[in-house]
Amino acid sequence: MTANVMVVVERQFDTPREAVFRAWVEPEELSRWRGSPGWHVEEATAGDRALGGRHHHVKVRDNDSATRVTTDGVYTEYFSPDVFVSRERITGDPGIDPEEPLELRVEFTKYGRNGTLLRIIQGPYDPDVAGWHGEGWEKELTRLAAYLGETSTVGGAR
Amino acid sequence: MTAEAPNIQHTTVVRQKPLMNMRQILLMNFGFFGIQYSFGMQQTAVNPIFAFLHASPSELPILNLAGPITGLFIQPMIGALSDKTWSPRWGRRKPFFLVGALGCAICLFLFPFVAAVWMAVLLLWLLDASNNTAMEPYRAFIADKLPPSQLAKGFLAQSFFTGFGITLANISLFVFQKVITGGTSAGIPYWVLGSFMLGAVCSIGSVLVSVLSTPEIPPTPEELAALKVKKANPVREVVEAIVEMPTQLRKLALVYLFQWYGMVCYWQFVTLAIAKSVYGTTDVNSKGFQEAVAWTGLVNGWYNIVTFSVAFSLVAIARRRGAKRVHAGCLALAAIGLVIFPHLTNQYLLFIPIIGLGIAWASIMGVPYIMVVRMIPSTRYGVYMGIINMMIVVPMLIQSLTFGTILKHVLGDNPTNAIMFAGILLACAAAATMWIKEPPIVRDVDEVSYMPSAH
Repeated sequence: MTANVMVVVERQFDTPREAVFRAWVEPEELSRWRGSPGWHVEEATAGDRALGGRHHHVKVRDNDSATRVTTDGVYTEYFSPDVFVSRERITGDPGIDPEEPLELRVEFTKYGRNGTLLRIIQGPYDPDVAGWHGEGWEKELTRLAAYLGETSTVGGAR
Repeated sequence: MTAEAPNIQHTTVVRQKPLMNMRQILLMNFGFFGIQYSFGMQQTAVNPIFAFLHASPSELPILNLAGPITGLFIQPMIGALSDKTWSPRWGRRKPFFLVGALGCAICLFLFPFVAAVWMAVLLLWLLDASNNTAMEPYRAFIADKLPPSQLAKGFLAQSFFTGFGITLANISLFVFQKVITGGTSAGIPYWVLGSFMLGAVCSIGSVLVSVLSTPEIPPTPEELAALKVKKANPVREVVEAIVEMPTQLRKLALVYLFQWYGMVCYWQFVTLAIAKSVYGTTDVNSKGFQEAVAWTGLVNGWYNIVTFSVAFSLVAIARRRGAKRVHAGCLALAAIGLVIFPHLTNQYLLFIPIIGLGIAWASIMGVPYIMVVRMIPSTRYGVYMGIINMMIVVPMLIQSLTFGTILKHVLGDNPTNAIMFAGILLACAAAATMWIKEPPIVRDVDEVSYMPSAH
């Protein structure tokens, strides 16, 4: 089947986009929310946060440390805090061919007084697996919302 | 999204958007051809009908108030309503542009049979309301369907069909006038009737092609749940969207103020300017003036041909250079053309500078939307497309209130100066466009070729 489906995911956050952008590109922040429930992130590292910079992280199943999905990416566009595009090789995910790189584009648009409209564009996927990836992003963004909620509360108390 | 937080604004919205080939994109936009044909008839043939019914020229501006007034109120409301609509059978946007196209077809069918000015005015209001009902959700439909890398193609396909529809409306009037004789008892020639009948068929026929060939993308169950919880309140939706409007979209309002004020100045004064520069007359009863009217039709027809000829070329440039630069460049070309245009005394040379306006018209009808849809949530495409239409009609209303005074006291009641003034306004619009901070350029996924190595 031809990979011809782009998955577009959106969510608004009541958090300034600088903070949302950081949550995506700083390894220690990313480790705290990426992955669906039942998974956590290990080995998150990043080189230059700039065009051509590399990043890496591994998602590990909480109850089975042998189940690991590794992402190796290169930033092919990087405009903080507007947008980044990452060319990614994903290994260990049965639904993704590691030889076929995916493009992940994440846009951060100021919306409302101090909020952020986040838009993820990823693909192209086979139609069969596109829905599953969309659901995955939905779960991860719920975790991101919770993470941003916690950090903004901590920031406010400081 | 969780069940206890069904606020659409903070719901994760997931859409699967299949990449579309050119044939699919053209089929999806084909309905815009019929809607623009209908709009072309409204622009070109309605005023002659008022004249056939013995309305005085001084009454024409007030008789034409339908356009800005319905555009101001109907489009944002329809947009807000379509954002909150989903029918498994009919979709989200399709019900609106189907009903709009049906209204257009009925009004176009009835128009040639009017026997009094009041009937023509009533039908014009209904026709304009129908055009507005169809046009705005159609833009949102494109934004709903296409992934970001194909939006430029989608919106410029609408520019293509805009030029094509308006050109064919004008050609039908020109050709039918030559081949059809006779008229109705109310004094309306049969060639006018023929053009309206063709418009009625094109309007509903082309929309049906798009509706039947292009399915809409359904909302996710979570989005649907959020839609059901929040009842549609179009007035509140419009007000909220204006309050929360992104800064860059506010800057676009300034671009539109200059751009649409300038375009209306051109449309209103191009005939007078040609009559003065080419035929050396300002007397509306002279033979030279009648020839200027006919020549204006050809000039306007030509720039619409330029519009549909260049529309798709702008896609590649927008992708490479960004939509902002393309739009500013196109407006600058129009500005240069309009400053030169009213000084030419050779009628054939007029076709050269007006090419700039044709290119700008292609950009105006498509390119700003490429920027807009990247600044706003997809759940509010409809309401914001309607608000953008307010940005079009408000400058038109301001122009109708202010330009008479400007023309008399600043421009010396001279149509040459009015066209140059339009050119200067388009230059201001180009400068204001450069002030917009456009989100960085969307590239096609296949443009990035190298593979990240494993860690």
